[in-house]
Amino acid sequence: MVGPLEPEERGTMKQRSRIKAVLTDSHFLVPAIVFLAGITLLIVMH
Amino acid sequence: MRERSERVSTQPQVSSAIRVQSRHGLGVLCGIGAGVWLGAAEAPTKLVNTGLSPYAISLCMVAGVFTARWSVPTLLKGTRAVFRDLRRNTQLIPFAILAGMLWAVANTLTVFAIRDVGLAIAFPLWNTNSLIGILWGRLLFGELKGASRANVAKVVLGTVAIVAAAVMLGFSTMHFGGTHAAHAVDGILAALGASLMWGSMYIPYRKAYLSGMNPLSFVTVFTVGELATMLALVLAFDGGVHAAVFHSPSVAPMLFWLFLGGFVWVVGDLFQQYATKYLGIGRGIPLSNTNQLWGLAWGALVFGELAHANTAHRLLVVGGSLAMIAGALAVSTAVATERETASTHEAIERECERYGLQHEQVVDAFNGGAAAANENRREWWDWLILACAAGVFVALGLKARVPALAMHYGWAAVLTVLLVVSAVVCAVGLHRRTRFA
Repeated sequence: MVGPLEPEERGTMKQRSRIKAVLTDSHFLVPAIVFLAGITLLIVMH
Repeated sequence: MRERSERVSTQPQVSSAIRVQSRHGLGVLCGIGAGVWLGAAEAPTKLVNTGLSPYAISLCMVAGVFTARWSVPTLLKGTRAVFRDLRRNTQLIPFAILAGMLWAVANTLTVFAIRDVGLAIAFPLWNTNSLIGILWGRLLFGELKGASRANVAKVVLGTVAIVAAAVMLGFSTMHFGGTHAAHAVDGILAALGASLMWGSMYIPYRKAYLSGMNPLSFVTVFTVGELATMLALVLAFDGGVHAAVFHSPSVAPMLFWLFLGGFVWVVGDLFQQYATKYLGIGRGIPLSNTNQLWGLAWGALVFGELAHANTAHRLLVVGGSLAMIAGALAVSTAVATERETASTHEAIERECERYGLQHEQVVDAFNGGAAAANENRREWWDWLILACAAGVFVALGLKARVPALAMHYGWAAVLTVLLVVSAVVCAVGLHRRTRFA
């Protein structure tokens, strides 16, 4: 049986779900993919 | 009686329309102010002739941007408010860092584009970033969704006119050298990459403001991402720790001009951020892209870049300037309709649901409301930070060397006065209506 979460655990959970929300957000993914494409281009050109 | 109830029911709509008009007017003011300041940012860098690599010059300028962030913005809003805002919106920190990283890499790609295909081909390509911005604004934030046909036409055609005008103005100062056929594909790819990156950089901007973040807080983190990436690029591609920028004795006398360029850029970028907040990406980017007109004004009037221009070049300047003014007017007059405003509120609701934000608080901050505006208290350490930032500029100024360069000081004074007036007008507008919220 799992008891109620401690406040610190709740905080960690909240933090983790926020990070997950950021990493799966199209508003983050689109510029992140564009950045990776740009840095790859830069490395190839150099 | 019926008449009275109709009047009562239309009152909220009328006040909402006034609010939209007021926000639009403020955004247009900031967009034009951004153009004036971003156009002037390159003027101090024209005084730099150290033989340093473009990476090194970019790094020095970005270091100036970082230092300048702690000057005027700290005066406008204390660090306590900025860090409270960041704590409230921790999810936006990666977005702001990413935006800074995009700027740094895009800026470096333009160097390669110029090297491989020349400015004449590269410049028009990366200037299409405002069209990329319109695309992302529509796809990711529902901008122009529900807009009237007239407004869509004004924004799209106005942007195309500004891009075309920027190309014409760019051509007027270019010298057509030999072809660069050997690396043409590489150069075109680099220019298109820069356009895509600069156009995508506005996604985090808009995201932050739909979540209620203050532009001053966003810029704080943005400059960290920008400086760290530029430093990494110098270390990776420009000689590592042995790079000339860290050791060359010719750097110190020129640092002041690069830092000054960074300072002007920060002020321009702040106005650009407010324009994005109050107008959206689709309207904000084209307006701030009018910087080309002001850059040309500095180049031609102060540094005499058009002194030997022929009739064709002069016609390009006149035509380009008129087209840019027409484009800016078209975008400026495209005030969002109720239906378009509703799609903005849908985008705000998405942010609130996704990140568990308080809807009322976010809407208040988005509108530059009272709660967001009442956080301007400055502490003693803010004055200390301000003194340190000013001290850096004074110290560099004492070491600065004015290069022997023919300059028209009368025009420099006129354009500087215009610069200050535009900043005062924008700052008064922002202070009166939003207290820089």
